[in-house]
Amino acid sequence: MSPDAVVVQGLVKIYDGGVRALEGIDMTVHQGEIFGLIGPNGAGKSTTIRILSTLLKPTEGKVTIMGHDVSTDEIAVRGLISYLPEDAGAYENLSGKEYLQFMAGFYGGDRNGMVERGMRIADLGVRIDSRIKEYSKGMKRRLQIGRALMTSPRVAILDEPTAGLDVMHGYYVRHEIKRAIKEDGSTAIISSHNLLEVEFLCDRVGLIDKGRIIEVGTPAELKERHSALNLEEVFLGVVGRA
Amino acid sequence: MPNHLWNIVVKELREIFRDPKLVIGMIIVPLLIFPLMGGAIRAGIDAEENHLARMEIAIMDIDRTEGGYNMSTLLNYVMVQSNLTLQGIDAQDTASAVDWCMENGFETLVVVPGNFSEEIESGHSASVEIYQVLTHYGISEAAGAQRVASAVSAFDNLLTAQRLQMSYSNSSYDALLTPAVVHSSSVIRGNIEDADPQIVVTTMLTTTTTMPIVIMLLIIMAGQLAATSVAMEKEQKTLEVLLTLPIRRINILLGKLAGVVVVSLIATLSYVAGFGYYMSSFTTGAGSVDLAAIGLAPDMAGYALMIVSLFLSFIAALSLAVLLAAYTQDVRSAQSLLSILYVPVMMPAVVLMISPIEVLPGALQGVLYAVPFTYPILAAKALYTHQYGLIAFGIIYQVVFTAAVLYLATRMFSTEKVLTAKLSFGKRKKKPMD
Repeated sequence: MSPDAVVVQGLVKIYDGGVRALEGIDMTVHQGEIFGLIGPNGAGKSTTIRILSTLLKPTEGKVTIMGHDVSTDEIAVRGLISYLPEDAGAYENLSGKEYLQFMAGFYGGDRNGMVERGMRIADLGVRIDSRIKEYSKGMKRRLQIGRALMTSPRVAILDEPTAGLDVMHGYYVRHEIKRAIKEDGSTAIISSHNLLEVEFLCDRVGLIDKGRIIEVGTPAELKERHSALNLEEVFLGVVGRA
Repeated sequence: MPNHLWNIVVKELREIFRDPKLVIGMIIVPLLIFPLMGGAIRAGIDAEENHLARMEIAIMDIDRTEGGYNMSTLLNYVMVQSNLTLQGIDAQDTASAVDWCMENGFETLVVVPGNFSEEIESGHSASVEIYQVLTHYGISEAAGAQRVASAVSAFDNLLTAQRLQMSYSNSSYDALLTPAVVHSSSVIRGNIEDADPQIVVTTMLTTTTTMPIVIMLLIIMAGQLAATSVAMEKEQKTLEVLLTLPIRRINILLGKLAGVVVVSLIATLSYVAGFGYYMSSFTTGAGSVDLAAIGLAPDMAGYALMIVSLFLSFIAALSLAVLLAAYTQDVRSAQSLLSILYVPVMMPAVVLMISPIEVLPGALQGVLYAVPFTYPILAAKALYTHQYGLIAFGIIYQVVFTAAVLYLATRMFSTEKVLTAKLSFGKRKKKPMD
């Protein structure tokens, strides 16, 4: 089996109406690594992530996840991935535990074990039995992180996992993601505008701009390559929009 | 049922039944509205009958003679026999009598002029004046004047019969007053039934005009429920997660529809139970006829066809609603776009409430027959007429229509269009996402 969990080759996406979102993305994500996808608004991060999640079809190019083509083998891909959209909501009239049970119901194996793990990652205490509509934004996000990671996915695809969270919740979520991914030996692709978060979480980072990957490397490599103190300076230098 | 589908159905039901607005609107209101309507109408009729039974009339009888007998004495007697309670008053003039009535809570004043007996006995027409106090302009306010006018008419008949009996001494009063008597019967499915056709039609209309409105409301509510369910998934971004789960997307669509269908079925049962009680409040009412006694009772075949037709209408409406909601990004837009569905749902209800389909112009008939939501309304009427041929055809048409819409909705859910499709209404398209 290829050591690469995700392989993207010549990925182009043109929406109905002619809008070109991706101009030919090429990237690979190795098994067991956390890969960060950073770039300015409109660069193509969410489109790439949605194609990896089987929500959108590529116009051109090929994307495989653990060797399965996302265009032709969607059901198999969906069994391997777990997707967390930016600002993902949950069913307001269910309790947190019912929501995790509902989601676990679509997977084989030890569903009770999955729910227990989800509850442990979310760490909502007795509030796990409250209706989700009574949760704060931070609690909802923790529940979503629990949901996304409880199935021990081979590839976790997380879009802005800490967007809008306060320092406490953001810190908790970042550490839980890192702990769970490393514990499972999973692979993760994380899209984020928070470059400190990316630097903390990611083994490698890809910079995307105008629908193309323009730079890839570990945070240390990128900083050295651009003589930068942090990823923010790398980003500004590469994208050139200071 | 596959586990994944069942999982979605259970989730949908939990979501719906935990939303008090939906439970009240879909189940409790239909269950209560008809008994309440029937009870309110029955209570109104009873109150009116009680009011009329003990009606008190003020009478200023200027023609009255102490201890003697004249025409005004006879008129007073007839009014008492007509269940009117008379309160004699002495007043200077009519204006003073009216003031007295208003001060003492009398709504109707009768003034018998001083020359009343003299005019009648001399072969002329005498007049009786009626003054009705109007305050809230309800229908019942005219009842007093009508009751007095009816009593005067009875007085006229009595007097006429007395005069005629001088010439026809062997005839009864009734025979003298009504030389020709009308007796109306209704011919229902070839059987002659002893029921006035006017009363039969009125009783039928009382029940059949209500059904289209209720069916229309139920279909609209079910459509709103389905559209809201899909739009809510998009608005809260729960749909994106659902679509990345390892299940066939048709299961997501069918699970959603099944959840709404279960609720709609409960709503329909609630409607049928409430409507049954509503109808029972009319069968005992005055001026109505027991439809079952004249062969217009619903039978099991009629109920079966109506339920099937109603069910298919629900599925068609739900599929259309889901399809429309897939083109929106939030609940508000979905509700607005759903108004497109209101036209075909409301049109048959409104038109068929006013007129039977058979007497409509051909073009309008064609339009109505093309609308699948027409058939449950026709089926509701066929409950009484037992003309099931058209309903059976309608059900076949509904099956084809519903299958086509379901197919389109399934196609929509199987592609990325369920996330990206938007109705632009002529605006320039923006880049959908980064």
